[in-house]
Amino acid sequence: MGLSKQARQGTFTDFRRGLIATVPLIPGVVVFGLLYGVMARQVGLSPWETWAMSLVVHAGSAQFTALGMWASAGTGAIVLTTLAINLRHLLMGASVAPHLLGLPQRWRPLLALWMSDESYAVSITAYRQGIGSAAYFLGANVGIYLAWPASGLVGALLGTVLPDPARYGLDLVFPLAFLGLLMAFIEDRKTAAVAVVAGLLAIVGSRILSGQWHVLVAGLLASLGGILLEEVERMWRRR
Amino acid sequence: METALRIAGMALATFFTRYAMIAMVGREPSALFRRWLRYVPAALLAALIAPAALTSPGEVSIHARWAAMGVGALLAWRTRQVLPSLAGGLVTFWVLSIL
Repeated sequence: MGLSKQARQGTFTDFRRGLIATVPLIPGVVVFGLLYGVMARQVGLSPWETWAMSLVVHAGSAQFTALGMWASAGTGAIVLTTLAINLRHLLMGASVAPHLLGLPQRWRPLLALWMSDESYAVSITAYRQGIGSAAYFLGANVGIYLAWPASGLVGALLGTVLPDPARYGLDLVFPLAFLGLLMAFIEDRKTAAVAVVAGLLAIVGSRILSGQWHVLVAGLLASLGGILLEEVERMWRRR
Repeated sequence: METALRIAGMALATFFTRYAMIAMVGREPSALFRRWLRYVPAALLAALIAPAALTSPGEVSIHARWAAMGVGALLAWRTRQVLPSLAGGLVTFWVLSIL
């Protein structure tokens, strides 16, 4: 496959395309950003601390969880929990890394810095479709990054109680958008089976595991299951 | 001070998880690694989607959520694009939760 030979730095046009690809996701980011800002004020953070956390951490589910334990837990526990919740990014990193081989070294920390679930999903889909590049990835990262800290700050300054986003189905923005992205990876029966197994494992996992462990566990087990399926298929053909 | 320390620690922990694998894959991956990577995006995206679709936070009708995700999945499958599944799913949810 020679992934590294396809590694592209990309142009400003690619950057813009990556940025535009995140636009459908922005309403979802803003709704949760506002909610985060309001919640941060409730646990006693100032608007500037609220903003600073989003600027330098930029990880929604970890930030919400940290706020939930802000008063009761110590710094060490909060940092370790953040680490655990974000471990799923190891899998995302492994998945994009081969596309970055052969690029100047400085791209790697730059792209890792703001890689979110959303910008990963958009960028890996672009790579799959052959239109991906480092500039596209950066554009997708920047798109989400423009919305998350700003909406958190606005939420903190408003400070009012917001209606539950789930009432208006706004928490479905990410799963619905990700469905459209997922289809790019369903190439055959094996990838379809892997997606179904991952979904089932994640549902079971989310009931019995805390934080975001279910994403990492389901993603890891189901993707390894894909290799198993290939081996089973090979043995079947040999018979 | 405590707050600044907490935020800095969270930022470092997050950057570590994002950068570790990107920094470590320094050469052309092996054949087995590449075979595995073919399945990672599908597995990760499905794992991010499924729990949100099937669990209902608060007093929202679970059936409206299922219907929204069903319509979204159908449109995603037919169009392979983000906007149709997003718009179709949300409209389905709104219509059903008004009824």
